[in-house]
Amino acid sequence: MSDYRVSGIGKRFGELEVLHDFSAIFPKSSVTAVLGPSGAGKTTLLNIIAGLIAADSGSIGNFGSASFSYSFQEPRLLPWMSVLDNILFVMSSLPDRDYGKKRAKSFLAEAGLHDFASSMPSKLSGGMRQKASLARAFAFPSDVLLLDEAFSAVDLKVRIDLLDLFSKLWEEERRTTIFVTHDLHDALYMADSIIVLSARPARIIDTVSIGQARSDRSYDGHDLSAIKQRLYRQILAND
Amino acid sequence: MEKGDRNSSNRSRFAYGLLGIVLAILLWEIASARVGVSLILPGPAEVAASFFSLAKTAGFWVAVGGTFRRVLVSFFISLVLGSVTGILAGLYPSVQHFTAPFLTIIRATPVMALILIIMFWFPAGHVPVFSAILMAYPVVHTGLYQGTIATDRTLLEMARVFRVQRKTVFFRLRLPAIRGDMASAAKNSLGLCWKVVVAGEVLSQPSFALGSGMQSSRLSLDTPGVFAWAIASIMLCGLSEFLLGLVARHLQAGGSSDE
Repeated sequence: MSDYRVSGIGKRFGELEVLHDFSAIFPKSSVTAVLGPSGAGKTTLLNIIAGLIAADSGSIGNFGSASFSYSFQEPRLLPWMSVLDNILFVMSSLPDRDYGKKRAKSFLAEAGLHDFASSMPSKLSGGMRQKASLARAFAFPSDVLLLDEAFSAVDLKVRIDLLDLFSKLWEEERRTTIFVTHDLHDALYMADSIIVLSARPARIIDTVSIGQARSDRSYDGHDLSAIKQRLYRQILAND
Repeated sequence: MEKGDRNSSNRSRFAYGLLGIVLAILLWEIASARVGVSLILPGPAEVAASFFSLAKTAGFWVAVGGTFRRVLVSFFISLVLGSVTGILAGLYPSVQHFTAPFLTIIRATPVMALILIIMFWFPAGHVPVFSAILMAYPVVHTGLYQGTIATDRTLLEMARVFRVQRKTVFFRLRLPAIRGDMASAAKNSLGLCWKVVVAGEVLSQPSFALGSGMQSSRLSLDTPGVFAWAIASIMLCGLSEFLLGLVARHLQAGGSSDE
């Protein structure tokens, strides 16, 4: 299958224009960060790609036939189900239940939550809930993985833990991933390429490829200082 | 809450409840003594004596059984019917638009007027049941409708992205999400069923009914007897609400099983 692409996407909410003639390419089996200020329309873009909302104009191309996993800003776990049951809930659409259960348990263990499989979400910390959400997204065998500020609601240490967990899980199954964030460090730490958006209505102001292997990067981005400075300049110039 | 704290809280609740009952009986005794006419306001002791002598008769228990059966039938029918239409109305706005005028009319109709109208249509034994269904059904419908439309949209959105089947979403997301609303609607409708069934029995006078016993005591100017029948009705309503609470707690605790 070729790379995923969207073209000419436009979206308005009443008088508010969120996306205007937005086109982008998302390379297959790589992590693309969509970096932009809060309220730029990043979540709207993901929701259009996932088919949750319809675009007013444009095309989502081959995303239309893809299956998705989604890790949201909030974990969105069903509070009356155990952590394992939450993952099995999304796996229930798979034809092979045993395969689904095996994957659920495997990714839960990878996320370090094996001992909490039968715990209710309310018994977990915020970081653990977000890990469970990430494990659910990876366990579901989708074509495309969408992450919407999935690491922003936790403290820095937990955030780095989650980003490292993401890298570890992603290396096992290199899935096409679109990751929206307003945090430059998260983008530099995780992405193979970064699409930088302007403020609303979102348009692409820069696209950056990061050649350096993810395992060789540090969270503070000092090893990518040239790209970091370039992105800072782009973001500040368009603020 | 820790188990020790919970026990202490339960003890405190029980103690305050008991104190409230004792105070009410004391006030009743004082009021009865002031009135001084048993025909108008009998005292607690007199009513208790009447209640125990009534409880020794087979007719009392047959009446209790008859009323209990009517309450259960009307409760279950209104619960099932209200749940089905309430959930459907929450899922499909057209169902809500369709049922809204009917529910508005029922809610605005006085209970007594409804019972009197139904008395023209149904035999005496069925009047309390139909009256109670008509009064309790809107309560269940509205509770379940509100619960269904208030289901967490973000969870539904999550299920949609992962393409979870509609059947699974309904049984594992929507139904558990409205369990609390269902328990609350069931509790409210059960209390209402007791009141309407007894009121319906008083007016329609079926055989084997608490309400008929109450009316018969009233006609023979046996005020302590009327009070005794009323106390029996209150106790049975309290008992059934307690049992329903146990069932609801059991259902809520057992809702997280694996597939």
